[in-house]
Amino acid sequence: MASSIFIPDMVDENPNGIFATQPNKASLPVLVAPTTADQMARHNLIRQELVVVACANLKEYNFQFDSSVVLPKAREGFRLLGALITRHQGSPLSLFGHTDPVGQVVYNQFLSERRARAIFAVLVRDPSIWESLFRDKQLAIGDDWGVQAIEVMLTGLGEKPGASTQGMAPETQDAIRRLLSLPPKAPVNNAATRLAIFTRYMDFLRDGLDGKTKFPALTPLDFLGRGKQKGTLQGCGKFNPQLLLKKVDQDRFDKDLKKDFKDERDTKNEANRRVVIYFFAKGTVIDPALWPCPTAPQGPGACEARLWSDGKDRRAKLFVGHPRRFGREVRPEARQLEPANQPLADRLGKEETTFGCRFYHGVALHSPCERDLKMWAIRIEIDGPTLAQRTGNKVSNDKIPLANRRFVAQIGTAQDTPAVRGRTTAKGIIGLPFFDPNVLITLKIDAFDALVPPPPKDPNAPTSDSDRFDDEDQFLELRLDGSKLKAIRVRDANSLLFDPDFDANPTPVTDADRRLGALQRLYNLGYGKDDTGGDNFGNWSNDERRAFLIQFQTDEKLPASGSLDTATTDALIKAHGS
Amino acid sequence: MSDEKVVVKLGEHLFRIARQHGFRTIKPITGSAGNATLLKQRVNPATLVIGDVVVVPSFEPARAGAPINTVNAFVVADSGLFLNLVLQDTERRPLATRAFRLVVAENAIGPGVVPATPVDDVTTAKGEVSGEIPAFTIEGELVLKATADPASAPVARIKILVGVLEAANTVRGQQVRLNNMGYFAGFSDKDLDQLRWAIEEFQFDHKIKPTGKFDDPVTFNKIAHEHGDLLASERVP
Repeated sequence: MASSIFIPDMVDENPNGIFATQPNKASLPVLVAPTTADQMARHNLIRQELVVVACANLKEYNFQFDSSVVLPKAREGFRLLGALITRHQGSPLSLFGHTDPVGQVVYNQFLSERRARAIFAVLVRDPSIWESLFRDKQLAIGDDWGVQAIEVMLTGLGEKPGASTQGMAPETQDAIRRLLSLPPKAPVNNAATRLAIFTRYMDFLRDGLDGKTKFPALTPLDFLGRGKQKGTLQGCGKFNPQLLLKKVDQDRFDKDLKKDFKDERDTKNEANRRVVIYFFAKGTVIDPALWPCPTAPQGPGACEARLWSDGKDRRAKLFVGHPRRFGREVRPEARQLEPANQPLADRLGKEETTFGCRFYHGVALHSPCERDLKMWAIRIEIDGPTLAQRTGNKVSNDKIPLANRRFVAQIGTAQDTPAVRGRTTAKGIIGLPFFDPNVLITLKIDAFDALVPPPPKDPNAPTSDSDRFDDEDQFLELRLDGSKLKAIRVRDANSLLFDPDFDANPTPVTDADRRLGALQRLYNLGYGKDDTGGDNFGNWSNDERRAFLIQFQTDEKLPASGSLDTATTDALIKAHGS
Repeated sequence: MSDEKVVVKLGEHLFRIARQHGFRTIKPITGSAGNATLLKQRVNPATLVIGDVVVVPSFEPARAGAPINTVNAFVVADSGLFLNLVLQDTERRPLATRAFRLVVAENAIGPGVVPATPVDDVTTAKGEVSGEIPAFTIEGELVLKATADPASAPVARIKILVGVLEAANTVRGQQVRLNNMGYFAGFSDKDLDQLRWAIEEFQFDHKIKPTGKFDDPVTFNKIAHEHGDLLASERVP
């Protein structure tokens, strides 16, 4: 099932994982009560909250099954992770390992912590951490690195080791001697050679075999726990499944675990086995003593204390014929529990109900790394020729992204609605958090100087983002009408976002919607009249519609049919990004 | 003259209503028998709920002595309205001795609105910001700096809406207080899933068994006590 998501500068999903910059934080006004001189003990407490700015989900793909050994194919994941860390330099990191719901709590807690630790070791380039994972499998009895782990690494480094079953195969010994330039017969099965191999392999994961990309240098102080494990890496075990199987499947696996069923179960559960890394806002400082997550040797008690009051239902109740997935709503008719309990079924059918740990739920809530992507992604471009005409500049491109511009987005119209402030990315992208599908967003962009000759620079102009910008009243204003955009094509099975369980039997798109959707996209792309917008597309005459469509088709070098044919629909979706 | 019944609108609190009716203090209103039930529900007169009905007694102007050129002394009690904030970081440590600038206005701050003179000061050791504000203030903006130096970089700009904090025993009242205190509780009282998350996290932090229920007096009083608009000696039913 293809389910990759790609939004330039924001979200990049591939087999290795999801690497994402999160939408800027929405800041709410604080609502306070005043007081009088005789009641000065009354006050209003305003406390800062933890803010996540980016995330990476390293999927199962990067690991050996049921093990914390990092596979050679994780290299591409580390390349993308390195780029993300560079882009968010100075953001303290924290790693959360997760397993699937199969097996014992304690076993899974150890395994997930060890996977997080294995990744952490690469990030800080510390082979001694791997040596400790190699030497002691702790209570994760299946996570026995052994010679086999060394052979995986040798293969990744371009050597041809053997396949040891007892002791170390002669081919493997030779491969190590070759790699480390050791004399023939030199002993190779010891801590010193392991340390050398681990270091070489970590460097391969970080910088590639050719060493061309340089992974950013990190120390334990660059993590949220500032050198302490608490806050830096945690094993959540099986407490936070992303996906819960259908009950009919689970029952089948529970009843009979022959090899085929086991393989199917483990494949279906793949999304649950992951290490998620969160990037917190620069300057975030936590007190490790107050950090809620226990270390694996401390046991899962602190996790169990932090579960939702209905944490067990969230993780254990399965719908009979439909999976549950974090971030996806289950259609009402598919919410079926056994025995029947409709109120509970409706609660569990909502979008974010699979994580047991309340603390983790809060960290992950708006993260594109844990949920089906929900954000308003808006790309702002300027029409090149118009720009050239207005400013007198020479312009070569047709569409120029409005890059690195300050913006303010007011989400909703009431006085107490949140505002989001930030900058557009290099490709002119703005990501806004998604709360309500039917919201009216007022977007202001510091873009007048892109359309008219720039005014003299204000030496006192504020430089910090996420603030109220002193001159934001003079920004260019756009109004975005949430969920008014009509689909012009049903999400079909070939779509990258298609999920057969959640997207089967979609509502068909009517011809009227298709026409309206096409006009909306044309308008957003800069075609059409200035005085139209919102729902007023019906005011366009048939001739106007045809003319703008032909203009678009000409610009896209398509046959100027003036009708919404397949090629034009494809081009519209591509140009609009949706 | 007879008493008047005022239905509370967005942004109204007892001090504002008193001023609108010519009173310098809220005592004539809080003293009115018609408000006894309401005040038992709301306790803090600055946290009413939209739709609450307040009985305002008729206003009798203080009589000045007739002769011109004599000085009339009026005793003005509770003359001013104050804004008291306590600022903490994520780990509950006070944001102490930080330079700040507070601007308030009697309208939404925006084009054409001239705010009152900004107050520049430094937070106390407990992270307190305290100042007198005009009686009709509805909006403010607090800019907090990185250090005690007013020239240091701003680290937060907080939009403040004055007088719209609802009573602690309402869903919205709990939601707003939890949002203020860094427990993200959602944007509207329709977003109950997020409020449930915030209430359970608050309950956990305060050693109350997490239930996520919105009608627990132990929980909503605790929320208001920690928020500070309700005194430890007070309780809302």
